[in-house]
Amino acid sequence: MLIIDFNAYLGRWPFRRLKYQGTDGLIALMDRAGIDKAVVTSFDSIFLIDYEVGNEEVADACLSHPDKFIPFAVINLDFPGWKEHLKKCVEIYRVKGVKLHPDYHKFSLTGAEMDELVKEVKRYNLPIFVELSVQDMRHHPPYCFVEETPITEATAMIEQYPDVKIVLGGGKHFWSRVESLLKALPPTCENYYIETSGIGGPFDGLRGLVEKIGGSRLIFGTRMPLLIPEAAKLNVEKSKISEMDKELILGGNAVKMLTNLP
Amino acid sequence: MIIDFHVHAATHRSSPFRDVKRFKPIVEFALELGIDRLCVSSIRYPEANEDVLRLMEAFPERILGFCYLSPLSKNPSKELRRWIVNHGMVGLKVHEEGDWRLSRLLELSSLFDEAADLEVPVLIHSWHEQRGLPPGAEKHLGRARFPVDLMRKVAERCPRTVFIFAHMGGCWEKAVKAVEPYRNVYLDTSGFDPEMGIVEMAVERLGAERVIYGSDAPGRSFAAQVAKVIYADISEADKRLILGENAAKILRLG
Repeated sequence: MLIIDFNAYLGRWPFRRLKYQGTDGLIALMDRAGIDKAVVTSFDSIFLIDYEVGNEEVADACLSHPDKFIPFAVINLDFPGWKEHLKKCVEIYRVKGVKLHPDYHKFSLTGAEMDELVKEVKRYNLPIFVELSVQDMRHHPPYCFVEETPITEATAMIEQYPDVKIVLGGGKHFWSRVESLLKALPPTCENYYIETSGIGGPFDGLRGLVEKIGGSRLIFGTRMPLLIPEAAKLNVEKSKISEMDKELILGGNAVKMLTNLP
Repeated sequence: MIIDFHVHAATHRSSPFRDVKRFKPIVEFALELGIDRLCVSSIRYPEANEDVLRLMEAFPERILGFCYLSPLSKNPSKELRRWIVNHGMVGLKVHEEGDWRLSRLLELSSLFDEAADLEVPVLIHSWHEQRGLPPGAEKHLGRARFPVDLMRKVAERCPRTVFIFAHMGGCWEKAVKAVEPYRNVYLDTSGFDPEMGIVEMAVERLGAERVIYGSDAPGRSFAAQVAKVIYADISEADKRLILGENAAKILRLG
């Protein structure tokens, strides 16, 4: 079984020194945790004003380690020329998806800019991964307190763009926010997936969520090297769900999403 | 033996886990993960300790009861003695309640002295209060916060009492620095996302003898929380201390 981490980071975390950083650090962690491949973007695409630098770093790492890393492109809709940059990321960097940080980059998930982005991702047939918050904001330093993207924004986006595959991830009691999302969306709504690194509760892990939306809608992610990758993995492995669901969550769903690409 | 130092039965009156039958899967799930004993408290409603007592009776090999005393009650020291001496609870849990804020912790000094007399530890909910937050931030942070420096004042005022500040204070670096000189103070690892390097940092600065594993279940996942210690880059001996030996020593388990 191929284990794919859908949410790993290169680049530098600005608020404390992480032992495992960059390409070598990430590969060491993947080997330690038994993760075969990781979808990567860069912290630098969140925190540096010229976010494109992070995508370039990701492209280099993926070129050096195509067996380990799968590139996604962070797109900042508030930065000039994002359309041209996305084109470059698709045609030259060969990215397999787009990742958004609307909390840090301050754009709406349902406005005119998003309409434009959706047109582009549909053209390239890419999924969109929305990281609603990269870290529990209760740990943010006050000089860089960034309010998480409301779950209602994600709900509206999912309903507004039914023919785009949308993956949602986030921190700070993300599992309870996912509960709100499930209550708000009609059961017929099937274009969204939940990345699991933020599902740090309740006590028995993913069982309840699998019962509600099925194992085919959850995608394993870790947020390493900010978070301990084995924590997210153990949370899947110890959940009282079927072996088939575990296989789907740990890699099967990601393979399906990433190989349905042109 | 793994002891989870921070588990709740109920944090409000309408919680389903007040019911012994509903709590049973929590005990069983923990055991499957190798977590042998759970330090359990219920908080902020009048029947909280009665509920914990029922769990202690239902799972005598598994549940260690912590009593919760409202900081607003008239004679908390007397109540503490009753729950510890008469009912076999092993610790005191402190949390904010109503208008009473944790910034008033020093008001409970005599209660903390009583805990020392009874040789039981005091587990305090702790989350750092920051300066200079932007407008609107407060609504995301909850009210149960206090400046981490208060940990020092409490430790100084009650040097005989064993304190465990929960959640490593929410701001790990500040909390570790604040409590470093006070040998009567421990930090628990419960209730925050499994961030890399936090347990290692606490072990390096405080020593593994002053770090205690807790989960904050059932709100938090046992697996994700225990992974913070199991997968920390520390020695196996240090992991054993954090996962159970420190708690066993504090709780005087045989």
